[in-house]
Amino acid sequence: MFLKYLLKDLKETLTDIDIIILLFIGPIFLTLLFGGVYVNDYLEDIPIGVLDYDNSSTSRMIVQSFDENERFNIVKYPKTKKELKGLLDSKDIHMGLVIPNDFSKDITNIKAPKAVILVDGSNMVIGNNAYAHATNIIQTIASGTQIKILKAKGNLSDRAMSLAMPFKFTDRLLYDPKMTYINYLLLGFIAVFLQQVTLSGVGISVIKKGEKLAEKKTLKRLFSKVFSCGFFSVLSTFISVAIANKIFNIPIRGNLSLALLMSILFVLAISAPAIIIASILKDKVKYAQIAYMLSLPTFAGCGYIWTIDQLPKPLVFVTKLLWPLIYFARDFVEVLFKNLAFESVKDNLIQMGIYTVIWMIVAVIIFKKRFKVKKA
Amino acid sequence: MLKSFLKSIKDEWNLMINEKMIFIVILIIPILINLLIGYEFSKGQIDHIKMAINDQDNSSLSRMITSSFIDDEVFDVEYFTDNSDDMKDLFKESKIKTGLIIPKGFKEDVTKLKSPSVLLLYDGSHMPTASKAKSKASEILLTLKTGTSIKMISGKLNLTESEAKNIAQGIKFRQRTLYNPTKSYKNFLNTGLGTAVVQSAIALMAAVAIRRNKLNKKKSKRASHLLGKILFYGSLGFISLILCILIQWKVFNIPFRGDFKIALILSLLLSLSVSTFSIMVSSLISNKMVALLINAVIFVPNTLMVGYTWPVMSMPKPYRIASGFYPFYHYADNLRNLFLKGIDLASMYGDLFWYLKFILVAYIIALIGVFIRKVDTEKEGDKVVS
Repeated sequence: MFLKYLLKDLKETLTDIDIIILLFIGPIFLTLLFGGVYVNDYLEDIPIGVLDYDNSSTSRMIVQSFDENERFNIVKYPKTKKELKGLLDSKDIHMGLVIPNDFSKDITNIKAPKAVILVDGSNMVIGNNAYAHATNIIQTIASGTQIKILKAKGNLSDRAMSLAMPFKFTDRLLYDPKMTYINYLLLGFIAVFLQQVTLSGVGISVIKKGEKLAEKKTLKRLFSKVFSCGFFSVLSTFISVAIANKIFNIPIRGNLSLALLMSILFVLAISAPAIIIASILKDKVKYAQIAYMLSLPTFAGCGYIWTIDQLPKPLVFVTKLLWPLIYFARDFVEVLFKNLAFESVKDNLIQMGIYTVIWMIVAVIIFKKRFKVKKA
Repeated sequence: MLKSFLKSIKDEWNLMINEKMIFIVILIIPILINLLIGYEFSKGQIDHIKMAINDQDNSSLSRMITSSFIDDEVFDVEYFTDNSDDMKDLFKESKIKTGLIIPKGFKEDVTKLKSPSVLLLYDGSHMPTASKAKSKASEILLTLKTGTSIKMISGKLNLTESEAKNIAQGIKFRQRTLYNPTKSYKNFLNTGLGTAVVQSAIALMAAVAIRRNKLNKKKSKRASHLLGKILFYGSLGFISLILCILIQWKVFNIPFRGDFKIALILSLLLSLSVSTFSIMVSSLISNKMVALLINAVIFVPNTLMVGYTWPVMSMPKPYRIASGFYPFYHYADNLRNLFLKGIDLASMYGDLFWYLKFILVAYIIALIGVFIRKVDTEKEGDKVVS
């Protein structure tokens, strides 16, 4: 009987243009659109300004190091600090380098002169990038200068190097050595697309057929609707993952079966609030308006932008109680991207299962109450 | 004209009072979302990053390095592993985000001037955490390295500490982060995310405003009818934008260094632009679900498309061109700069002028939309009244 309903609903969903565009085309289109935003791995040619009061061969060498670095583009040479600050205020430049008078002379006299780097921190992405790459350049220059001084003091090259660099530290970034935005964000967005299209698809289907579904065999028919919408939304989610991998070169190292299981369980979980909201509103336009508004707050609160351990505990508690994305998004991405094992996601899956059972009972009760046709 | 204009506003007002949806979507939900994101990012920075240390040397120097990480609040050193494989497993299970491996014979190699290496591992899959951990760990190790270098130069070359310090530092570089010195996520994200929600709300509600309210048979009255809708949603959106700005400023203490009057002007123009554009979509597309979908695709992902986080200058050319056509592009950065930099109105003249042109063009297209529409083709039960 359930299979009969399911086949009928799959056919109905496939022929319902509104729903199929939403469920199937939506995630794929949005993956391509958002992937394009982050297609360049790095920030390049960050506009910077240089105020070189010294104008010596050493200061020019420093300026040249910044100029030759592909991350920076020297676009302004202000004459005063005030002018430099004005350029930072007006966003003409995102970083300023100030080299003081007698800079070169002070190096020779071992006075450790001070150069200043001013970074516009208002956009943290640009600010952090500029800061990190400026630090790299500076450290190289500073170490070179230190070694030169030590050599001038009569030390051999190797000894000078070791005194300047008593120990080194090597960084290794696991899973994403280039630390790119696309690797960080796109799979997370795909998880949210799955949420949004399932939320919209299930809710709108329920509203369209509400009274019929409430007539008899409600549970079976509701689940049949959920599975038919879920089939297309999960399918398009995995096509989106393939696009992320093949077109945007995001490494997929994980177990796809586990990711599929998680997606199916999430579809069931998110269907509960979808049915509740749809039953309360009983109007597909109003429902869509609310559903579209939920993408940002649910993404912001699901432990993706900041991981769950960084969020305030009461917020995590309330979110876990009300919205299932917190059990799914980060784990889904880590399973795909890092090959996180079942053991590591098991707890969240169990909690999501409990969430689904409780809220689905509530959803069915509300649904029956709201859609039941009163007999004349 | 005036009657039609006032009736148009009254219709929406009544709808808001009777059905509450407009009120809930444009005012209540954005306020709740602003409280949510404000609370979520209230501590500003990522800290207590879970970390493991594998100290194979166990010398005074390696213990000094270890203690520096333990004492720093950015890290929570939760594991001390016996070997690097155990550490690898902790990364695999997502139990740690940072690892430090100090090799055997580390101190001895430092003393013998062999420049040994310590290895720092980061889980790169979560960029903000990795980025914070990397910059803080580098800062800690650089300080320790310079300290060690000073001691060694002073000892090996028989120099005073101050001379050794000047040699060890060679050149001092002072780095200052302006406008957001604590690198607070709250300052960086909240104003844009909080106001983006409002413009989505205006777009979603105004996208279905025309058909729901009945068009006048007399085409001459439709211009004022449109104007009424634009003003209604524009005003409501404006109130919501200002409330959200006040929440971020007064409740969550994001520094507001600019002139509040500029925020009022900017918010009014954004709100009217989104409202006019959405009414235009509503006037051109009679299927409400399609109109909603179009506006959702255009406005909901705006924070990504206008370079609020990932800058436009790093996007491919078509995106760079397209971003300039979004009203939010002319708002988000300006608002953040108003908060953090206190920029003046003169620096926004170009954007303010853009808004005026945008509103005018969208209004003209909307007028064409309602003029060519036949009243009797309305769907979904919209009736025609004069």
